[in-house]
This record gives sequence, C-alpha cells and structure tokens, in this order.
Amino acid sequence: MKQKRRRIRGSFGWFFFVLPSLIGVAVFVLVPFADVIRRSFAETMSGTPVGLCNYQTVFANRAFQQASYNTIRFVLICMPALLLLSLLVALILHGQPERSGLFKTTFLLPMAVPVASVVLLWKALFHQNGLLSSFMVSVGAQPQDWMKTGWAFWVLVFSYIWKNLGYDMILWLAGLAGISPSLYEAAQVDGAGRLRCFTAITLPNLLPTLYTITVLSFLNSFKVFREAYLVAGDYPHSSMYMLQHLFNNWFADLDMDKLCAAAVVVGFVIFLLILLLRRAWEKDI
Amino acid sequence: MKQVGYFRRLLAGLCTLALLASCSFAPKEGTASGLEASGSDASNVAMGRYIEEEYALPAEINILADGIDSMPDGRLSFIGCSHELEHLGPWSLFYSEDGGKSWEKQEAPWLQGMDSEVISHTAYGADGSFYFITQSYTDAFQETLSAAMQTGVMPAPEEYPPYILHQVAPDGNMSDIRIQWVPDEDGYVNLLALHIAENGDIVVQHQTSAVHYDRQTGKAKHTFLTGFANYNASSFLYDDIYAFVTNNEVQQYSLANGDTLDSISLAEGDGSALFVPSRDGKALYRCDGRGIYRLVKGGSIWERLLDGELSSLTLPSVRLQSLLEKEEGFLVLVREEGRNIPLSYRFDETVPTVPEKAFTIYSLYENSTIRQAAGLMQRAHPEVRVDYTAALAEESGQTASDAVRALNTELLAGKGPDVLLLDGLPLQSYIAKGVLLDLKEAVAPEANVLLPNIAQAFQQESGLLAIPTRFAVPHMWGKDAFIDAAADFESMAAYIEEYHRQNPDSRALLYMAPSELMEDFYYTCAPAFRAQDGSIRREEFMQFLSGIKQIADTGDMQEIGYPYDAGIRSILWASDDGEGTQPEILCYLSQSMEDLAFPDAYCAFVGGRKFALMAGQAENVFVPQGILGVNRAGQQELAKEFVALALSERVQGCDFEDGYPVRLDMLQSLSASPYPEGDDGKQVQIFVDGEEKWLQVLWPSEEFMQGILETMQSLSTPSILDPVLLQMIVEETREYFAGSKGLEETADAVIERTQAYLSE
Repeated sequence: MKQKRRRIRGSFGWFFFVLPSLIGVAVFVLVPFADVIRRSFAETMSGTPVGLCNYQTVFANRAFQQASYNTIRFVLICMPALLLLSLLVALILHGQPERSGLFKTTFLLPMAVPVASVVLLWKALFHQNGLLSSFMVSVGAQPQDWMKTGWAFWVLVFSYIWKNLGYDMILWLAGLAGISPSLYEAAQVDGAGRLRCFTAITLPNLLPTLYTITVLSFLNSFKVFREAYLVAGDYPHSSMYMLQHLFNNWFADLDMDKLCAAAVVVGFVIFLLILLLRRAWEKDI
Repeated sequence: MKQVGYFRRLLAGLCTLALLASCSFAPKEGTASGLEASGSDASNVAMGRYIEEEYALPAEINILADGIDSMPDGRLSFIGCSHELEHLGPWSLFYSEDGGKSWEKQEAPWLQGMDSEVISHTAYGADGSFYFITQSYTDAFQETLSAAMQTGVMPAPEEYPPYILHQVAPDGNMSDIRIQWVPDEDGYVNLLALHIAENGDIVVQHQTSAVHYDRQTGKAKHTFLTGFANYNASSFLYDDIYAFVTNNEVQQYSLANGDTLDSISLAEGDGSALFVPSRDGKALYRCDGRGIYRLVKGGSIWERLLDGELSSLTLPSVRLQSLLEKEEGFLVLVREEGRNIPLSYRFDETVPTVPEKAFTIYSLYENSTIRQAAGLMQRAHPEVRVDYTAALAEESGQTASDAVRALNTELLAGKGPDVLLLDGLPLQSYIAKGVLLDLKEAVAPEANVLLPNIAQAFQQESGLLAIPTRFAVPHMWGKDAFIDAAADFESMAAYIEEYHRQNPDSRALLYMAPSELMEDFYYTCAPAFRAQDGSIRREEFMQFLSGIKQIADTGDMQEIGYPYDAGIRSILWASDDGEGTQPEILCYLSQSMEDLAFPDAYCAFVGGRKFALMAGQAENVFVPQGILGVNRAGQQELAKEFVALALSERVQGCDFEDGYPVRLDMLQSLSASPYPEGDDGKQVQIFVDGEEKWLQVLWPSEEFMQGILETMQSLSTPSILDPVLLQMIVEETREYFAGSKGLEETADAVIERTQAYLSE
C-alpha cells in the first residue's frame, strides 16, 4: 500500500514542474484558441450563436477561394522546390567537408537578414525604376513594376526559397551526418554505385529528417506574408493575395466571425496534413 | 532517498506557488502598486487644477485697440470702441480692479476728438504712463483706399497717414513723442507691436524687423533683424531684453548694446502662442491651444500648468489675443464668434487634477468641428474629462491600418471610444456588425432644421446609425460654352477634346494627369460605376475610363503632385502667367461659402464665365464628412448629448472650412455676406494677360447664394472616396492611358484585381 502510494505520488511529481508553463500556454494559446472556435459559431459583436452560418459564408466567399488557391499553389510549388534544392546543396557540401564552411555561412546568411531589409532590397530590384527594369530598358524592353504583375508570385517564391534554403540545408546535413559510413562501405564492397547508394541508403535514412523539414518548411511558408505585406500592402497583386492578407483585412473590417471560421478551417487542414504525414512516416518506418 | 524525493516535491510546490503569487501582485491601473490599491483610493488622487471662468467685457465694446494691458499698480485696462469691424472711434477707456471680472469706464479727455483715429497699439511704462499709437483715417484717405481697391493699385507709402505715438502721464496730460519710423523692405511702415522699456525707450515690432527707438531723439538706436512677422506674432520685453517669437524659437536681443543673444528653443509650430514674462521676472509663461506652460529662467523644460483640453483654449473657434498673469492665476483674452471674451484661470486645490470620469471621442484624423464640439462638451461638463484622440496626429508613426486594427481590438473587447468619427473607418462594416447605436433620439431635437437629404444619407432599416456633421459639394466654374456643354461627363470630355483640337495650346483643367483626373472625378462618377453591393459595373466603368482618357490626352499627362486646396486652385485658374497655361475649367471640392466668393468675383471681373455642379456620370452628388457614430458599448447618454452638440447652432455655425453645415439655418446664415455695407472685402493678387492685378473679392449676390442653397437642398447622391479602390484602379489603368492596353482588357483587369477587395 505504502509502495503504491509512493508510486502514485512519484508519478505526479512531474506535474508540479510543468504546471507554471502549462498555465502560461493555456492562458496565451489554448484558451484563445478555444475562444476562436467559439467565435466561429457566433456573431461578431453580440456573440449570438449562428451555427454553421459563418462557415458557409467563408466557403462561398470569393476572396477566401482566391486566397486559398494562391496559398495552396504557393505551398505546392515552393516546398518541393525548397526540399530538392536544399537536399542537393546539402549533398554537395556533405561531399566536400573541407571546403563547406564558407558555403554553409553563405547559405545561412539570408536567415539573418531582417525582413525590412529584404523588403528594401526587393523594392530596389523590382520597382518600376529598379535595377531589373533598368536592365530591361537597356535591352530594349519596357520597364514595369514587377510586384504589380503576375511576376509578383514568382518573386515571392524566390524570396521564400532564398530565405529558407540555408536552414533546410543545415537540417539535411545533420541527417546526413547521422548515417553510418559503414553502410556505404558495405554497399561499395557489394558493388553498389553512387546512385544505388543514394536511393538505397541515403534516402531511406533521411526519411525522419524529411518529415521534420517538411513540417518546418510548411510552417515557414506562412511567414512569407511578412515580405509580401511590407512590399505590396493590404491588397497586393491577385497572384500574391494569400490567406494572411485576407485574415488581416477581415480583422480591419471587424469581420471576426468569418475570420475565426476561416482560421479554424485552415488550422484543421494543417493539423490534418501533419497527422497524415506522421502516419505516412510511421508506416514507412 | 526518501528525503530527496520529499525535498524535490517541496521545491516544486514552492516554485509553483512563487510563480502564481507573483502574478497576483500586478499593480492596478492608476496606482503605484497593487498593495496601495487595497487602501483608500481617494488619498492617491492628485488634487488641484486651474479652473476656467468666463468674464465679460462691457456690452457696448466690440473692438479692443490692443488687447488688455496690465498696469504697474496691478489693475487692468483697455481701450475699446463699439464698431463691429473697424478700428475707429469714439474710443473709451476701461479699468478693472478685480482681475477682469468687472470693468469701469474712466474719464479720458485725451480720447476726445479721436473719432477718426485708428488706435492700433497700447502699452504702459514703468512710471505708470500710458502710451498708444494712432493713425488718422480721414474721409479723403478712405476714399483713396476705396479707389485703390477698384484699380488694384495700392497707394504709395507717403500717401498713408503717419503713425503718431502719444504719451499720457499719470496726471492725465497727453503729449506726442516724435519718432522717425523705420520703413520695412517694401517701403511701407508696418507696426505690429509696441513696448516701453524701463528707461522709457520705445521698442516697436515692424513687419520684418524690430526697432529700438531712443525716446529723447526719436531715432532708431538698434535694429533687430527678426525676419517676417505675422500680425499676431508674439513679442515682449524683460530684463532689458527684447524677445520675439517665431515658429520654433524665442529670439532674444539686448537693448543695452543691440547684440543678438541665445535663443530659447520651442516645439515646432509655437509661433501662434502667446508669451508673457512672470510678474516676479523669474519665469516665462506660454499660452496656446494645448494649455498654459511655464519655463523657469535658465531652465529648459516647459512645465504644463493648465491642460488646454480641459479648457476653452483648445476650441478651434477661439483666437488667442493676449495673456496676463494676475495676482492669482491668469487672464487670457480670446476672440470667439465675433466677441472678445476674457477667460480667467484660478488654481483650485479642492478639485481633482484630472476628472475621474472620462468621455472619449475617436477619429483617424484631426477634425476641427469635432474638436469644437469636444471643447464645448468639456465646458458643459467640467466633472468629466472629454478626451478627443486623433489616431493619426502629425507626430504619430502608425498607419491608418494599424490604427483601425487597434480600434477594432478595443471594440471586440466590449470597450472602445464612446463616439467615433467614422471618416476613414470601415463604416459599412460597423453598421453591419451592430457596433453603432441608433441616433434617432440624439438627432431629434435638431431634426427639423437638418437638411434631410444630407442627414439621412446613412439611414438604414435598423435606424439612423451614422450622421454626417458636414458635407462637401463638387463644383466647377468655367466659360459659359464649357459649362453649357458639360451637361454630363461624356459630353464634357467630348467638348474638351474638340476644344483642344481647335485650340491646341489650351489646358482644360489644372490637374490633367490620368491619376489626378480620376481622383477629381471619382466623386461624381463612382456612384454610377459602383453597384449597390460595391462591385464595379463594367459598361459604366468603361465610359469613365474612356472619358478620362479623352480629357487626359489633351494635356501633357504629367502629374502636378501637389494637392492644391480650393483656394489655391481658384487663384491658379484665374491667373495667367503669360504662357497660355491658364486652365479653362476650375474643378474642386467646395467645403465653405468662402470657396465661392473668389471664383464669383473673378467671373464678374472677366465676364463670360459661370458656375455649375461638377459634371459626372451621377447627378446631384455630395460628399458626407465628419460622420459621427456612437459606440453601443460606450456611455450612451453622454454620447447622444455630444452628437446633439455637434449638430447644434454653436458648432454648425462655425466655419472651419471642413465642410458645409448640415443645418439649413446655419447654411443660410453662412451664405449671408460677412462684410458690412461699404466694406472693401478682400484683395487677392492675380495675373491677367501676364500683368499683376489686385482683384477685389466681395461676396456673391443674394440671388446667386439663394440658388446655391436650393441646389444643396436638392443633392441626393452621397459619394465617399474609397482610397483603396482608387489606388487599384490607378495602378491597373496605367498601361491603358499609356496606350499599350485596350479599354475592355483594362476594365476586365481592374474588375479582376478589385474582386478580392470588394468580395471580402
């Protein structure tokens, strides 16, 4: 009996250490999130429950449809490109450990550049009177404000990849460093070539790293809104109009009901995706 | 082991308790710490502030020669007359022995015979002598001036009557002091202020300098180059120093040797403030709309003694005239609604420094009408702190979006300001979300004098949730043929195109760049190309674009950029610099009856020109401004009282050039000429055929004003500028106006670009 009591008491000891942090997280994250879910089923000011009305409004809203399309398009283009490019760079640097120090620093530098500086750079490059337009004029083409054309989307893609390449590269390098060299030696002894080593040893061993990088890159893809907002404001070119722009503007218009409903939808979709990814990884592993 | 586990649990429990306990000791708002809040709150409330009391001048006095003077024995005095606008006699002298509360007329034989004298400046000497300056405006000279107004050529300096300085000794004997006045750079003698030094020397502020005259010889001893001085620039003497106030500093000059001394720095824009040295000579006082401040001699910090927002000093309708320090407190002479009013400020230790109850009014941008209403509300409720916040004041670094988001955060929390000025705010969203209270009750007392077409612009099924306190009207003036042809936007554009073909050097409008044209014509065209749900009607929008292009193609498409107001636009329209670039049509947003006076005078001067509402795709357009709404979650009764005050005669009757009043009676009152019979109005410099001329601007005829009033009562189409939509249209149509994109393609691009914004 005494032992059981001691075991029970001992098993709850951790709770007291976690409690302060848990209270903080609950107050600043969980409770507001629950409030958002509550507001998504109610009117903005009066709080009167309206059932699924807000969700119906959100799904029927043209702006939400456009922003969702742009966001999905952005993620589907950026993430594979970033994963492949960062893996390629990591593989190259992993193969040249003596000369990789300078390159690692170079690829990591964009992460240290403040967003405001990046925005300034984009304006200097892509403005109607910027460097790119000057180059276009010099070859006989018309100058244009690139951020106000369909090219704005690709500028954003480039910005995202440029900023996050170094971070993903470091994660890939960490994953590559965790693969035992003896596996490659054994494969070489068995006559496996470089491609076979890559597909049979490197890739399978990088799967856990791939899961981490995918989730992080997915979450980082939402941060590109900062550059988009600072360069192009509340209403950028339609190709750049993302979900965060919509949420930002809905808040300014006091459309909290639609905002909360859309936020719950987006949060649920992201949560579902991460669960699916995890399930897929667990299956493979 | 057992003990280690026990201590571990104890440590964890203590850490948890410490963390939780520290959160509960957060100080409550308004107290130094949470512990003190549990005691008596009254003991922590700061007490004492200056209380305002309005005094009155004698009823028969309308004009004071030079404000109120402080005599060496502590009494106050002034010289005044009963004329409404002119500084002419008969003059009377008044004294006050109770700090301005009551005034006694004094016998002043030396004032007799001065009926045709203009008394412009007064001052006391240290020995109790009274000094004043006169100019003799004889009938002959007044006729000379009237003739000059007709020809536009001002009299020469020598034709003006001389300034004469008089001294009245304490025994009542008057003598003249001969002064050899120093002319300004333009050759005229312009006197702005008079001061008497300790030794009896005369110091006079001229228009571009200050001159220290020797009393014995009448000649200039020292000349201080102060720079250009406005007629209400502040200057004073203390400790043998002459001080002159500019926008950002107090310049100081030594009377002993004429040297320029170190200046005192001021915040930008303090040039209109009043300054006076303290009676004990140890400090300097400053008075402006923000309050009364003190600077201790040798110090650098201006200490605020009186918060302007808790007094009448903040009212836009108040013009500060003079500041005096009394035995107890201050006397500030102001001019409001054509009356001179002495305001006395006395320190009362028994009232809280800041009223505990607050009533908040919020706007994005500073609004004079609302500032006036807030000041009057404060006067009516001294027990409440009326706090008017303009979120995007000059020194604010935040954007309009940031301000709106911060406001929405408060509204969502069930708080927020009591009254909202909805200009620039998401008005339709607030109406749809139920943020605003029905104003029917608040408006009821004035309902029968309000213009129904304007006041009910935001009437909904759920009630009257917002009401404009002002409105503007897009106007245009031009040659008869132009105005007759400009029945609508399409015909106006076609006429301009044809006129330009026949007169290639002509310029239709002041602003000819497509972006500027779209901004000018947005008001009169948007109601046609925007549907009820806010979406863009394709056909009407294409007509708008093609009309703009027709007009823009007759000009050089270069943006002027600078946003000229109605007054400057009028002058530029009326002026020909000799190179043939005078615009044919004057288009502007008219916000005041004053906006009509100059174009009307010019049309009468040159002939063949007339007025009309600005052409557009919509008709009878007006622009609601100063739109008020009441926060349902705020102090509703006070808020309703504020709305009623903003619509009252006292506020609507003031012309701050921020829109026409929505009261018909005040509209009628402001349409009447402000000039008495025989007045020569204003003179404005213009260029005609390359020559400089002075145009006399009086007031439009009664018949014309009656027509204006009837037009305003028929306006029926509210139009509010949507800057986001306009910016999108300007960006998407650049290629069209440059000729590299077609009309239909452009219209579709604009509709596609604006879809997200309009469907949000």
